[in-house]
Amino acid sequence: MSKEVRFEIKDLHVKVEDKEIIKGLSLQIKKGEVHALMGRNGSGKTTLSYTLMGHPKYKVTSGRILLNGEDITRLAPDERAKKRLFLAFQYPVAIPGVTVANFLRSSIKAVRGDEVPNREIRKLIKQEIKALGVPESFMIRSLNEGFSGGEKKRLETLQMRLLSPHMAVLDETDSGLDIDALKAVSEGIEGLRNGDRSFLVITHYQRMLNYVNPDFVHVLMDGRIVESGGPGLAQELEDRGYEWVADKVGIDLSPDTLSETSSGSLT
Amino acid sequence: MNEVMSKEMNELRSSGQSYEKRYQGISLPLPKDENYRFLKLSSFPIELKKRRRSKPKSLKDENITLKNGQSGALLLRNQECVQKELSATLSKVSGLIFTDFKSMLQNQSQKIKENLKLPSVFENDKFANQAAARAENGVVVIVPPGTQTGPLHSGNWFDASTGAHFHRTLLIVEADAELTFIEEFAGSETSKEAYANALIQIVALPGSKVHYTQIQRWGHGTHFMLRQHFLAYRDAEIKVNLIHYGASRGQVRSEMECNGSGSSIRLQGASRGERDQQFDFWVSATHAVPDTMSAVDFWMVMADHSKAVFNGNLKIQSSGVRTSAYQINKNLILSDGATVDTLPKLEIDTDDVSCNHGASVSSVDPDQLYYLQSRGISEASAQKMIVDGFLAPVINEIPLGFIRQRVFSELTQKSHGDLLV
Repeated sequence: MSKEVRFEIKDLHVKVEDKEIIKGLSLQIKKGEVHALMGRNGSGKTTLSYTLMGHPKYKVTSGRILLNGEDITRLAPDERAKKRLFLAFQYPVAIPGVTVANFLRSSIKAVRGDEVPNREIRKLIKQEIKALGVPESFMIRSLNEGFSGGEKKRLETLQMRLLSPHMAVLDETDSGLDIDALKAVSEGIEGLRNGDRSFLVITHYQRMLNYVNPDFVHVLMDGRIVESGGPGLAQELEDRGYEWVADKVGIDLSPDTLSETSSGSLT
Repeated sequence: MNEVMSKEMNELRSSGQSYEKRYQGISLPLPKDENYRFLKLSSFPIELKKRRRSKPKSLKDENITLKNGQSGALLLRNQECVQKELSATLSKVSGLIFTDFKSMLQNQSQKIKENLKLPSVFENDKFANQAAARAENGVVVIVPPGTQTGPLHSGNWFDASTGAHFHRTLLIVEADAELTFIEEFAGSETSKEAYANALIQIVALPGSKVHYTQIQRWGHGTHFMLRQHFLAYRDAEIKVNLIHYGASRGQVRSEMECNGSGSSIRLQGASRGERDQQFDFWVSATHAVPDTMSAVDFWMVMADHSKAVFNGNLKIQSSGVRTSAYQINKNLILSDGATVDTLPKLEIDTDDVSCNHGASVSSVDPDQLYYLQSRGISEASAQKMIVDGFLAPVINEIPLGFIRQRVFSELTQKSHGDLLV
């Protein structure tokens, strides 16, 4: 029996400041599946992740995004989060004066509903920070302010665990992590796989996929998925680079033909 | 009245008369005057006559509550002292004075008289002279050498329907002593004209530590002037937290003076404006001796049609070698109609210093909003969290929890203006 579709992107076109970055991207992810989306800098990875979560700077000019069969293309980011879509940011922003504890409480209440008692929220947070090995002193610090790259990613993983999404998009979660931090974060993600929750792991390198095992791997190039395959495709990209895919589909990878300015331009 | 007291009162009266004479002799600053160019001084009812005062009532109808458990609490209502408490421990400390200005006459020492003189920096300031001349009451604290005091709290309530209000605060912290002091200026809203003028003087003697928190939440309709002088002697530390969100319009001049080697003064400010509020802040730090430190962090959030000005001035004289100092001013603007002018300035007459200054004015960062929204938090709540967080570092420094909570709750009730995303 085929599994139900969890998340679907249909012929998506996205513009940033009048420049088209995503040029007809389609992807279907079924319940419980882990898909990896790999691409070089400038291929449109960050644009896609920000668009999926509804950043107002990214304009969907055509196409649709569906979560559990419901069209969420025009929803505000908070409405998408309430429908249990989650984005783990590559560069989470710092918000001075907003403590991690206050932020997590507000977020859990917003996503899970106001009726969750504070006592239960505290218990849940305690349990999850222990599971992730996050020190309790995190809770009184300002959100992401002065956090190391590893601390930020751990906090993103902690949020993902607390908000219990149906569909999680991980935007280059491996970037800036040393091998220990990568293992810890990956274990946190692996622990969330339950046969029902789905993941889209967006990454530049194959190394994270040593720990988070994908069911499918796709190659993003010039705003489209140009190649899809099983887990072996990731290793092939690691070994051979992206040029062979570009040659195969007839895309020129020289820098002046790439459409996205910089995948980290929002930070 | 005994002879001594009568003599003291006469002295005070005569010094008051001389300040009055000086006040009258200083002409009203003109709009082109550097120190008043951001202020529409013509709208200030500075010569407002006092209207009939209501009698001091019980505290129940007011928004100031003085809690037990503090080391000391003092409430002035329309310049009448209606409550004065000191913990049993501190009551036994010889030489500790925590009283209202009027009662101080009975205990007046040479030290108080000397320190009641206007600091030279305010000698030609019309409004400092006015406060010195007309203040009928205020707060006086003297902490004797080596004594540590817990938080002392003074609430100064102004019924704005009574017109004008003049106040003085004098804190003298003697050698190696410590004082934590919270001063609130509160009052009712009025549709009539109302005017408040206060003069604050803090003297930290060698090796002492002072933590002074000022909360200005006078009611809308009040125009105010506030002059304050922070003086730190050798190895003394003064920490000042200014939190201003009340009244309609006013000017605050804060003069920080590091007067002894090893002294330091740190000032943190937080201001939040809405409707047509206007705040004009002047913060000046003077370093005249070697090895001193000053730090200013001033955060302001303006919504609706409110306006704020930050004038920072860091003055390091040629004798102020090895000074370490900075002034930072950060501002958030929440609507198209709100404005902020920020003018940090350096006057440095020696090379051997470490100084910097900086300022920023911005609207709420759309990426911060997006991040919070991506976690299910609505746009309005996200904006509120960001704005509250912006001022939190200063509010969190309020030493008494119940006052901190009240300030948070009053600030969060303020409107948040339109989004500029």
